[in-house]
Amino acid sequence: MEAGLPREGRAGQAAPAGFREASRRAVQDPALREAIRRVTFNLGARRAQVTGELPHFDALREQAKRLKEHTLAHLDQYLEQLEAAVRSRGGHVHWARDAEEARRCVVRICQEAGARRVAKSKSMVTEEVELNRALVQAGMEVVETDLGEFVVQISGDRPSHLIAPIIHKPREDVARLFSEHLGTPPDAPVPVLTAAARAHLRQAFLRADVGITGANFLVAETGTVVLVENEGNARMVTSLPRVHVAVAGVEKVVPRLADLAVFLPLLVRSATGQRLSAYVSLLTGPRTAGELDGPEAFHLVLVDNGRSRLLRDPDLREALQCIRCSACLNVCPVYERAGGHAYGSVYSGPIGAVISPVLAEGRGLGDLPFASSLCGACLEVCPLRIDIPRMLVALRARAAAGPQARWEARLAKLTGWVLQHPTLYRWGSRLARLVEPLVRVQGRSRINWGPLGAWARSRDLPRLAPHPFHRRVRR
Amino acid sequence: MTAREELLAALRAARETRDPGLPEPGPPERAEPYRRQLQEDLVGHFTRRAEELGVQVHRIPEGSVAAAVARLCEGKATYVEPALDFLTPALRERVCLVDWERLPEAQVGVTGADYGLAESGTLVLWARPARPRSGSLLPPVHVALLREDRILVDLFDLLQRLGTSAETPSAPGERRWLDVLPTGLVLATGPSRSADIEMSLAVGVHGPGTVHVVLLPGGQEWPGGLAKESSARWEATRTGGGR
Repeated sequence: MEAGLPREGRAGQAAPAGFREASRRAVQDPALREAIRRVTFNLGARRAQVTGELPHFDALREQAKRLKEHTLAHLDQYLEQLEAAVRSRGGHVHWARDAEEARRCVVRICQEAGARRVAKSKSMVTEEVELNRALVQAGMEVVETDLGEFVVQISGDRPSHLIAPIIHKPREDVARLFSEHLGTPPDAPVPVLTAAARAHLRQAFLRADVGITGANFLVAETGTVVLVENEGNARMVTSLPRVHVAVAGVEKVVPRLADLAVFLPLLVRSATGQRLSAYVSLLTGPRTAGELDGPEAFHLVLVDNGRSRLLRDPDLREALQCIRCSACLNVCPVYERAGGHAYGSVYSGPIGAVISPVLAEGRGLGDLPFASSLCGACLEVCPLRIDIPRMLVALRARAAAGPQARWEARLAKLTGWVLQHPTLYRWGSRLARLVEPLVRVQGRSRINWGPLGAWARSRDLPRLAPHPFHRRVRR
Repeated sequence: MTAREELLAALRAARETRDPGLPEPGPPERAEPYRRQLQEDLVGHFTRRAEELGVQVHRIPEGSVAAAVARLCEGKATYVEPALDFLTPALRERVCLVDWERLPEAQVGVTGADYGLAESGTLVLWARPARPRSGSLLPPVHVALLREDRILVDLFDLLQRLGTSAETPSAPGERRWLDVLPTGLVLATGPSRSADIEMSLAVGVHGPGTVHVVLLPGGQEWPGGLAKESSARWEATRTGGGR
């Protein structure tokens, strides 16, 4: 059912069709809307329950906010501390200014390790920099091992939610895919599909030379990479292959190990409504003498790719506090109707509408700040209380400096002028009643082209009163 | 300029002026009543929270560890981690033991757990030569042995115990926290799970789908990884070198 959505609209590749167009198509797909609603409702309800059970949840939020503000105020220092800690534990640190550098860096690490096979666990930043394409071009065999991401990979699709990548796909689609790729019955139930994926991907884990992960947090004082997951695939790719490469945005760093006690409950409870996810791995450097498993070499790739641009921007730097829990997606009325693909970026939903246009600068995501009703639900649920509506308004204000805005301003001026001249206004309202039957069809505007059409398409055009108010008053 | 220098320079130039200062680590004051409640019945809370997730918790009388483990592994290909070597003579009669090389074929993995967390029913597994990471990961069934007196309140409790800052000047002869942190520390809560396909919960996706916790009475010495050995290293660094 994602067939109607633009596949080329991936940040970093061709320019997306634009949110307006993509969302218009998405809202006409009742199955998609139903699927998204099921997930967002479920996750939202569970979040409410487990955050409610903590009387100090808001105190944790405040603590986390302070920690993030402090860390971002000294981001360069904490990164240097992190680098020193990783090195002292025998790991390697690499720096990538943009997506291209990140790709080249990981490919080089894999090549120098003589790797043929790569197993990946779910990572948004590697989606962001489109790592898989580069690895495949370099001749590597790449397997996504998160169940959802595996489905995304074998169907040539894109993830549509930060933590539930295939919420747009009905079970029947997955069953069909698995019957093609893994030989399961075409109508197999979920447990059978899961078992087939387990068996198939187990071989990928055992054979992989390199395991690639993202990072939920990086601990500056210890050089620790923290991975949060439920399936166990991140544990696999960091335990079995002989090389572990972690790719992470520079904003993931936290000062101390003890700070995880603040961030982990906020992340997990907000994301999936669990008390703790099934597995949290705290990984510090390669294996030491005598250990039977764990990687022999550990590499950390720190990625900027627009993050320092966000940090430099006083209006938007707050967005770097995001821990990618996806709570804002699950409460957003726009996300619920449009789905993740419409955003044309790996980061969808309210936070995606803020960061995507900046991270993927100049790639035609400029209309994302308008993908919001500014209802404020995202601010309310955000564990870091990131003021997303404020940032969306700031981005809109910038967009309003464009040519379309000048046209709107002229129109507003003209309207004001008409309103100040009663005769003109009366003639105008008489004219409107004359043309109304031509323009108005079934309560909608017939004009569906041009800038006016874009505005009118999603709005009702109510019938004009038979007699204008000013005439009734005069009578 | 290298990528590193340029990136750090960009971040330095963007340094935020607003800095509320680094807050004290530890739980917020408002958490105290909630945490005290957990503290009062650590074993009970741990058990309930783990069972809610489908974990089977077994409390056993003193001395019958091997028998309890044997019952859970009866007739199955079982891997026992090196730390629990003391169990193997008793197990050998009733279960089919497999060694490290054949771990991928094992149906059950038996390991110790270094700590438990009462708040979430979590097992804390500390990687080391005698406790490889895969023992609790590859087999579809995980049997974990946990001493009752090793159940902590929550993450704050665990990380504060572990987290003597790397910045803290160490006492002469003491090793810094940075040097003793294990290469892999896993917090395992319930079985492996996924809800990726239509939000329907599937267990055992990659990790074990069945988890048993055998609770050992505290206050006595247990051999292998169940003795105080596992944490002796960092406890040594704490006394004298700690905060």
